[in-house]
Amino acid sequence: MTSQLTAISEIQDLVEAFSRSLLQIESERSEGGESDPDLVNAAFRAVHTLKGIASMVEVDELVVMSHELENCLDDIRLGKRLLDTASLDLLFAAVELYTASLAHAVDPSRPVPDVSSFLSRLKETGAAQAAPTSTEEEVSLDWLHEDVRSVLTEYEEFRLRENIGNGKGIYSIHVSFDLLDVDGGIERLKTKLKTLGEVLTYLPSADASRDDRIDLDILVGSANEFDLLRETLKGEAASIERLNTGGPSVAHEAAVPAARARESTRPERASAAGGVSHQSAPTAASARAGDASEMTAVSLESEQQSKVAPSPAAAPAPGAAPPPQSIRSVVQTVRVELSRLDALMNLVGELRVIQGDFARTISRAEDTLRTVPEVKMLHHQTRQMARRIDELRDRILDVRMVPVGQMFDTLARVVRKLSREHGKDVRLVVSGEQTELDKLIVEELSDPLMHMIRNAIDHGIESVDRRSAAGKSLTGKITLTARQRGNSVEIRVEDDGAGMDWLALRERAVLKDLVSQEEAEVMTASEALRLIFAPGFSTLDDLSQSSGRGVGMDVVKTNIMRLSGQIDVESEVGRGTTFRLTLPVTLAIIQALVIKGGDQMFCVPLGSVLESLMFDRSEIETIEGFEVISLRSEALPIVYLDRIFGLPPVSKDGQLYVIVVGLAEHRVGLVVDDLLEQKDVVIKPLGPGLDMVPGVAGATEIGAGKTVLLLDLAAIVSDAVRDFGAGDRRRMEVVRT
Amino acid sequence: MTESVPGIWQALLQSGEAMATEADYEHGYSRRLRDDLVRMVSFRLGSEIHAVPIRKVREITRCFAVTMVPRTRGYIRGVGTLRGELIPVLCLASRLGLPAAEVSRRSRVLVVQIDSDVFGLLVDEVLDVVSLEPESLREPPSVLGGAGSVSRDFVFALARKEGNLLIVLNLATVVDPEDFVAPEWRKGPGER
Amino acid sequence: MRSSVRGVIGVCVLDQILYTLHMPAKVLVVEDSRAMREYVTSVLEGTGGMDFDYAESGFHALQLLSHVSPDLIITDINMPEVSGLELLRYVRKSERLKDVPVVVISTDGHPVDRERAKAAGASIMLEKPFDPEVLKRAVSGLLEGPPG
Repeated sequence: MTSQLTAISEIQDLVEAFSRSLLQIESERSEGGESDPDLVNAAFRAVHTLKGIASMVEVDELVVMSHELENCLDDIRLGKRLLDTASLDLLFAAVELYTASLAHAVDPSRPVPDVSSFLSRLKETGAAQAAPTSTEEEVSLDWLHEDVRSVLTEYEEFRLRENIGNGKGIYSIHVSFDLLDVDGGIERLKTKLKTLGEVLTYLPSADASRDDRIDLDILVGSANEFDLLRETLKGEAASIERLNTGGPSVAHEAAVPAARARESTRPERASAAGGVSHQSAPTAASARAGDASEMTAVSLESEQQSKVAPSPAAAPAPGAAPPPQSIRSVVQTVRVELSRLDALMNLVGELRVIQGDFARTISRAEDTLRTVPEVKMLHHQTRQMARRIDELRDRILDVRMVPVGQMFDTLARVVRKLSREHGKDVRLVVSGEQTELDKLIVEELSDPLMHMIRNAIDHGIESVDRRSAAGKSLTGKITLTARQRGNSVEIRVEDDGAGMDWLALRERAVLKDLVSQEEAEVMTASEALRLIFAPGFSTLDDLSQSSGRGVGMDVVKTNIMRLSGQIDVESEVGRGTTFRLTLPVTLAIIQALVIKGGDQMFCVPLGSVLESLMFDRSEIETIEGFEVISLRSEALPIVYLDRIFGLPPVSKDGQLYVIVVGLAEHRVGLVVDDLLEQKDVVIKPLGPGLDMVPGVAGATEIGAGKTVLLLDLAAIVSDAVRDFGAGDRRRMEVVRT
Repeated sequence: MTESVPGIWQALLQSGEAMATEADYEHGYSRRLRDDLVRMVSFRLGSEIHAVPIRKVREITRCFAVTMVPRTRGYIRGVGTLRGELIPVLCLASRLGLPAAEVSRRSRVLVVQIDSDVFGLLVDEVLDVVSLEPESLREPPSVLGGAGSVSRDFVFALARKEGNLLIVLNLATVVDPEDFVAPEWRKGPGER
Repeated sequence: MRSSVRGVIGVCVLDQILYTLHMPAKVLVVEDSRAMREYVTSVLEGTGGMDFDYAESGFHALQLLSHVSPDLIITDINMPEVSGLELLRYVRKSERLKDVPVVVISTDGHPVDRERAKAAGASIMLEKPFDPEVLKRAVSGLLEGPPG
């Protein structure tokens, strides 16, 4: 049977799609534009599919809820119900309910969501509306070929009538695509057609003479002139015909240009049962007897077996058709557990190691067998192999990448909900939704981002009164931006709220005994702002208007650090606050700097290395018992790798290497013996026991069976920072960046 | 690079419990094999002979390169990579309080699996696969002396085989991941 | 799950062996929900003698149908762009495919669409959630076909 997991995860996707459509509908409404019927239809379809799946896996509350919701959305898309603010609110509430129901389905210990009160609200809202606005009297569709009309879904027919009712012209656009380019071609065409009007339906036409092409008649409703359509579609190999002339009853046979028209065998039945009052008068194309009458519709109730007519002699016998196996399974997506990708990634890493060994063996052979031409070829071939392996690695990494947009959608819902709760008017502006991050990182990131946004709404954005008094626009704005910068992704959370008063933060830190009065006095604005990341700086029980922004920011910082990320904050009183997160694009494989310390090789994530420098021992100064070097006239505290790991020191004359590492807002210089190389490494966990060693995050295999430890810079830096802050000074930071 | 000891050890390891014992050879194959025999890999640590149950041993390899892991107990020789898998390697002798092993031509690593975790145990020499009747296993005396100088906690049982004392180790206590990190670097609960 | 590895090389080999032995019926499942595809497959797999192709949209079905002549098509009615109805119309108009039985799956509600599917030549209509036994019976009935 279908795995529950597949079903649940698909339902999850559908809920997200549903929510996304709602957000788009809302943003269109707020911009006052004409709402796009496709969005409502997309919402409908998501719920419709969801219901089908839920009924299959027998999650009853989802079925019941989806059923009512589907009816509601069906009514909306068919114009029988208005999409007003109250309905939209209810639909958003449905997203929350879905989420809760899923949580309950996955983990029955989670609370059972209250579906029934939602359903009664749904009913009430529907009833409260004016009786279905009986729109314009039936627009005649006689001019449309019966063959086309009879396969329009109820919705498609409704949209067609709406377009005609609104005075739009109905066009039939005939296009032909190469079989292998259908997807791309359709997407391209769709984008163009969207600018012209509404795509009503796609009718594939069966043209047996061309197996390698797909022909389509696309019905489009547009207020534009014929010439504009032709202009826009220039270069698309499309032929356009206008089917109506603004009004009804213009017969036009060209609606079915490609294939011989076939009459439906029982048009009466279709029209009667469908309750659609179009006339079933035969159109110009007369029925080709014998062709259609062989089709037999068999209803299941009668338990009859389908009468499949014997193939006409002309038709190829089943199985004899020559199906080149080129495109057998066209399922376009598969779900893969991350662990399987990890396994692939490990294999690729090992392949690279083997390739490296291989290359080394060959270059040794080259020394002695310089004259053998095959050795040279081998050398060349291993290089090619290395490139292919790299490519393979990149492809696997690509599979793990997901756009951050999905997470942004969830955040948009949070903004919507919270701003309602707080009676504030807040708009979320997002950009860079297409920016991709490793799936794992995206998952780990959503909580911290949620928290920052919550803070921004709770404490950042002022009430409407205050904003008005301050002469600001009444609608508060939170901007969420993602963009890729080389190997990392920067995410900014920006609000135009009250900002944070760094002087108040400083006072508060003194009050909480986190820094001394003297230390506070020399603190700069940016240092003071970073106090919000300190554990214990701000807790829920002592929120205050002036400085309540830091709630839980220490947890946020920890989570970001765990992802090898950095977080920075800027804020200006009255203008707003900006958090900037920098994250590695992926975690599975990392670019590492291979270093040497205490005569042992280690690697460090290159993403955490801000820079590496060579220093002369004589440049080291001692400030308050701590060794620092001066970097661009700032004091950078240093720690020695060999000392912190208790490794034998390697005597070095004069020169020493320092890698400047930054995690979150801290900067520390790590002194090492040597910088060896930079390379991509697959990091593996050290396993039980050794994974508890502080300062070591994992290991990787470099070259011939050599295991190299990966330093946990987060732990090393935080140890260092703790040591610098130890003693009586109780100072949060000695580092200024 | 790693290299497995070819031949008999691997064959023995793969042969399963139905292996004929020395007793079987004495009496000919007509005798029904006992199916309750406990099969052990015996090995040498210094001058002592120890054994661990064969079903815990995944493979026996020559020594492979290990990387020292800082901040760990002295008996942790480090971590190595065996066919892409990271394996912590313990010096079994130092773990048991015996003089630390010197790696020689005869040294081997027993790769043991405890639950789903894999560890390497460095020993001085692998000797034999022996089958022991369960009744021949003896509780270790409360104070070990003479042939054994190993803390009782680590000993599962004692057995005699051809006049030699065999110390059957209790892997659950010998390999204790909680004890890998040097005490001064252990984190309290709730930290990290 | 078997359905998820269909089309993968390893399985293809097995498929070919099966082909020569039994010539399984080729069933095309057109459904945009993966869970539904898997469900339909899992119901029918038990009956044996079937080989499945999948399309996750009307367009993909068209791509497949241009090269493959299935013995049976099972399609969802409500799909974006090319709907099950439009696909049905295409099949019935194609010289090569017009006799292929088509099972149309719908959900409750939408009587208009169902009537149209019947009129357009659906061999059998099924409503979600359907009884697996009903699907099995319907499919094996259709595959055996009329005598001769």
